[in-house]
Amino acid sequence: MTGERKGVLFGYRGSERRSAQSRRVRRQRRLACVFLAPSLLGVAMFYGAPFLDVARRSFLDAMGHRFVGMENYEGVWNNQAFRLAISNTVRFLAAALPLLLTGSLLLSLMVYGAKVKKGLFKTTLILPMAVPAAAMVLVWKVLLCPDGVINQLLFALTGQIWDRDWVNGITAFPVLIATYLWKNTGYDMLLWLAGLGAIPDSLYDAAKVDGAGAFARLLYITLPNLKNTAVLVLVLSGINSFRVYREAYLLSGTYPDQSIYMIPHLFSHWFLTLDIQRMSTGAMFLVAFMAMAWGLGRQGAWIAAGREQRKKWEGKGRKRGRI
Amino acid sequence: MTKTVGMRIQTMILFGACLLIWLPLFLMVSASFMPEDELLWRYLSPLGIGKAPVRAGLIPSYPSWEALSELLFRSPGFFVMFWNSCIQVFPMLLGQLLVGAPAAWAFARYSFPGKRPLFCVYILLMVLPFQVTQVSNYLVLDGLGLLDSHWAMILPGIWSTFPVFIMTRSFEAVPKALLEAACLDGAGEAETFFLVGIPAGYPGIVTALMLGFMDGWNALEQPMAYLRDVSLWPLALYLPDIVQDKAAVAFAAGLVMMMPPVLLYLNGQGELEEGVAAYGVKE
Amino acid sequence: MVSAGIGTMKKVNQTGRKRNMGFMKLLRKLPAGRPAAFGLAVCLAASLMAGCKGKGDDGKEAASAPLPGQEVPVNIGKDQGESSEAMGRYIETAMELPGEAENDRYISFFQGRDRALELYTAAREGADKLGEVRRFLWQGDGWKQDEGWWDRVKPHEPSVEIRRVFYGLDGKYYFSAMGQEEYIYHLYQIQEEGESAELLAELFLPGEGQNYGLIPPKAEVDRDGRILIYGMNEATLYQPDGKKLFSMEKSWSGTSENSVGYMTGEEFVTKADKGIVRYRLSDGQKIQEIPFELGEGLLSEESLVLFGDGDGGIYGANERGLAHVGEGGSLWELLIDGSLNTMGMRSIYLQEFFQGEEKDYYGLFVEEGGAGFQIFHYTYDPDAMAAPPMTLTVYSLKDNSTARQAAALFQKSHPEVRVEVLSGVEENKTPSEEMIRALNTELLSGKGADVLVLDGLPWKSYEEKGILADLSETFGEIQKEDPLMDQVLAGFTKEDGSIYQMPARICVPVLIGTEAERAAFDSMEAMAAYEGEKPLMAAETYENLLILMANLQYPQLFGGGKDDISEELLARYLEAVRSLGEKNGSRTVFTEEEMEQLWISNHRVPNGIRGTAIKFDYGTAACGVENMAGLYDLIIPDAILQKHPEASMESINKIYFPGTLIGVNQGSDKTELAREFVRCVFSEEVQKEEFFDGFPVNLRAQEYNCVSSGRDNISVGSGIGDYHISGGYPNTEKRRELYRIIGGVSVPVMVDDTVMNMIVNGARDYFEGKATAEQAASAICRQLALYRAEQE
Repeated sequence: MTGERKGVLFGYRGSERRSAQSRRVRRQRRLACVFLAPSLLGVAMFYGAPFLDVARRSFLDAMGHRFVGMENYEGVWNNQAFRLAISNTVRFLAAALPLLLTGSLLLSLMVYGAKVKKGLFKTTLILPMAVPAAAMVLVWKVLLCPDGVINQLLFALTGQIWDRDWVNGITAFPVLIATYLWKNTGYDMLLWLAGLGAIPDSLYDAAKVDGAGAFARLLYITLPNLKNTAVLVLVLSGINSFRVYREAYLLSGTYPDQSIYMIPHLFSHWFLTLDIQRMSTGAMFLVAFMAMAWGLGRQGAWIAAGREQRKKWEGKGRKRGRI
Repeated sequence: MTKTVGMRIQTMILFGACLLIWLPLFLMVSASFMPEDELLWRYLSPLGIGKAPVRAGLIPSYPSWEALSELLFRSPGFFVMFWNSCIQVFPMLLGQLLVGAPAAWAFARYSFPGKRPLFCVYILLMVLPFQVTQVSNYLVLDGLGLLDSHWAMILPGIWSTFPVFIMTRSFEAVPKALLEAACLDGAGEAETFFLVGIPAGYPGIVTALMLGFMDGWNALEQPMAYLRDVSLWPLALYLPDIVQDKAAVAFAAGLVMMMPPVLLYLNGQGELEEGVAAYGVKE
Repeated sequence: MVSAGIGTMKKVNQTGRKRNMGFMKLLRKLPAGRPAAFGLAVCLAASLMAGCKGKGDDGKEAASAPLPGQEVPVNIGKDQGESSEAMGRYIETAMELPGEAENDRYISFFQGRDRALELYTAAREGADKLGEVRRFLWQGDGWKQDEGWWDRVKPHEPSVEIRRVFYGLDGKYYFSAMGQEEYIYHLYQIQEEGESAELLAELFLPGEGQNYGLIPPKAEVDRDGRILIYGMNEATLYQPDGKKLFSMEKSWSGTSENSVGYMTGEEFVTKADKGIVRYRLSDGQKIQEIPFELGEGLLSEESLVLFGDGDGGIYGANERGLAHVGEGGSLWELLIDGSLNTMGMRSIYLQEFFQGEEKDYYGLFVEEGGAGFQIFHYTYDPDAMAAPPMTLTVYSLKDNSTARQAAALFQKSHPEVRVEVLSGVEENKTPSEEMIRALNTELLSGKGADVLVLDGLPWKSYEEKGILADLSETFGEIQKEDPLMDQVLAGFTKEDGSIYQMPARICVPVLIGTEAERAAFDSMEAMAAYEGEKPLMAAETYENLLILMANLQYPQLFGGGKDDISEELLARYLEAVRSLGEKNGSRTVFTEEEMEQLWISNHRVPNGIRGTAIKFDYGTAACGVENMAGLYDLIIPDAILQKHPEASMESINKIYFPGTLIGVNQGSDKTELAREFVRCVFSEEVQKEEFFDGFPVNLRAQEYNCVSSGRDNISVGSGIGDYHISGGYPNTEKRRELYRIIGGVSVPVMVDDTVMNMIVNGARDYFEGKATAEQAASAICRQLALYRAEQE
């Protein structure tokens, strides 16, 4: 991310100084246009236009006939269901994302460093995302229902009768997190592995020559080089958290325990009742929240990194091969 | 000494993680080899038909090919849907590569005004849940006359911003030295992209396509919303249809459905490592 | 086995459309063994790019470039937009029936010697010449009775009644008959001269200690005079001398006369559980199994008639239309679209279908209940439009017979309109939310079906959001011309006089019991407090009890149709259900053993009403509650009432369950036509038919139902273990009595499914003893509050 930013800055300022550089910049812009145009056109048509339509609808009534100003925004902001869904979603992300990110990173490091059965581990860990939710949910039910395997195991361990319905009540939330982790850890691991693979071996070799231990190599080479991947994994995991709805829906129905009532539940109900204006407004709120989180995250990273450390990293990053 | 112990612990943890994945999957696989009555006997409660303690088993007592053979040999619909899935997913992946890779290259390598905001927009578009844009997308597809055709699945898929995002990350990681070397050799921009960028960004491209495949293969809402004609439906819609009355077939369908992504991954995995290796050599 | 089918499907499909004549030949050339690899290879090459064009393009191609002299078969519901210019379609014309047979019962209809059409009918019960069968021969312009026939062939014992006449492949005529006294099946060969010869007589005699012998639903004779006897699960071939040759498996069939299957010179073709099978007649070996097409449902329907094309190919006819597959092929092609003609009507059953001289077909339909029959001739008209220029779409979440019947009749009276009835799932399946979402997407885009059957759809939101058109004007006209039940119409009229939806059918829950039980149903407290010799209701799952209570005490619980229910009322409701359940041994879930013992299952039943009249008669409940959905539902309760003179039948709290709720899409560009269709749905003609989905709301149709005849010989029996009860079709007086009860209902009950599910889920802990009624009620209320909050 930082490398890219630097590139932009250079590009701007340099263009006014020297004509050679300005020629380069112009050339770059032209090339960017050529490379980007096909994608941009399609994205504008299939994603941009619908998004603008959603934004438009957030100011209209349900059937899109009448302009209602900020009425929808007011209504959705004050809607108790919306607040519950938002707070649950935030809670879910706060609980699941750190677990998922660290867990998948650790696993990917282990797999990357594994000497034996590397292929087996990799293949195994990506299996869950290939399983269709509808088939998997039946397995979860086998495990989690009141007559299920988990309760039987607990009975064997404790000697007491267990007939808890794990997908309802207080355990619904952790169970949902567990299914989410089960499904997505491999997905994220794949991304981490791609990131790890992109770190040149020469860096490690140089570090070894300098006498750096395994931990030092991890801290000073691996982790800094995975920063970009981290952003990627974070964003994709966030997206996938919306997809956990499918499991939640199949496991505990349209109105699950209130601790796992999330944004997709609400949107889905609004869709059924044709409240598309509310859904659109809710989506605009989501976008706003995400933009805010993004901005905050960047700002936070900026401050935390600090100038000094940046310098240190840049010095080290000499060989890292970034622009 | 400590190193080997550490290695062993690592391996054990990995095996533990694998076990967590294997056990539930094993339940599914074994269920797809059970005759219908054994399945009912074991899983009456979870199937929502009655109440009886679950009698989970990793190995069927009376293994049977019934469900699989019913699925593979006696349901032409299954094959039609399988084929529909292929028709919808592979052109989509090809398109993602053709359209997404250059775009990612542009984001990663060139500077132009408005790059960062544009990239943010790409991410935002990726993040919105499908439901939100379902109606608006419908209007677009309807306007283009694409509804009720495979194109309704393929075209929006091609322009998904998701692969662009992943590929950008991987292109950014391409060492500058490599590009400079290419430049010195007198390579043009296009040559640099194809001869240096693509091979060096290979892991990212393969990852993007792999993930794109899984998403496309398991897509459920989109075909349901835009394909009214049942004969165009992809495989993902076969499953929810039959869960209750044909549980054994449902398990088997789950098994069959996860095979292509897994096989593809097993194939792609080698490619992926090869790509990484090739890149190492160049370095 | 099937895999190549898909591979080759696309290609065949296109070619088939282009050149119909070469279709069969082409199919024959295709490998029948078909390894999957072959299929996939063809696919990969042919359709990776071509295939993804989608069928829209294929349709265009087929429609806009017909070859000279080409016969384009009617497409199946697809791309009617493009193909509207395509010409050529099978036209249905009614064949006049012989005047002499006007009141007769149908016996047989087939092509006899020299492929001449022959029709056999018999006088109905009550007529003078009981059992006499008349033979009519088609003369090209009319039927001519074969006067001497009956005297020549009539069975010697007068008690033997002819069931079916048929023409064997050996060129001889046969008939099957039943002995009315001893109930034994007889098979005769009609001789040119003299008395008919009985065949296989011993085969049909009852065995030692048995009451009945073999009564095959159908018999056929092959070229060599061998006789094929259809059984329940198999068909068996016999030598004329009675020697059994071999059996061939087929799908289960009852004793109905139209057991599916036919013989050609070398083959026997029938329906098995998973598809259509071909057997070799020389040794009984299976040659091929053609699976039913998934999704299309073309051939898996119950009333299927199979026949050969004389060239190794197979035809299948049912309410979807006429489909054909060439020899060795497995892709069915729809030749006649049943939704455009009589075939698609729900009130009649297809009985016979066969090919005429050339590319023409004959179909014989029997009216429901055996009241009469009709014959239609299907001829190809190259100048007719392949599909009518206008299309009216009707959407229902679950397949709806009334809507389908109305569509069939509407098309007959409006030849320029094609009515397309779309349904999300079949009648007995559960639709998914995605289907509603897909429909909503269309509606929000200002599109979607013109007419909506709102059962299971979020009709409240549709009303609020202005999706539904005001039909008050239309119903005002209907009330003047062909009136509907006033109180039902009033129940669906808003305060401002607008009508957005109206049920075309109503089901009425009734109580069979005495005054004491009737009083107990006044309120839920009264139900809970009822003390008698026997429990008020028989044992039931708590889930069904909850739903039953919510439905029967709807005004008390959800007064005025509001979903608002206070925590306190909810707690009382749960307690009432529990006290009702404790008295009769209800459970949250029954074990296998209990299910058998109590004649019960754990399934959720519609409206929570299982139909407990039998249990009342058997003595495990003080009264019986039945949900009446048609006149057939009256048979058993009526028989029980006759056994219990102290009991009577009444409606419960004047409630009824509206069904087939009809609304018109405001955004449709054919609202006038849609309104016209609404009139059709509520017309006497459509309403008078019975589809087991409720009673008509049209008064004339109700009257017609009371006086109509033709079902007098129907009887229904029911029983478990030693207990048995049976009754006949109710007479006019009893039917009138039921319609009097129906006329008295005025409270429409439509419990919100979401609310009901929340209550059922939230109450489980209470019934399992894990929570108090108050705790359960407050948990349910939290969920309900969330549900309501979404809409605030």
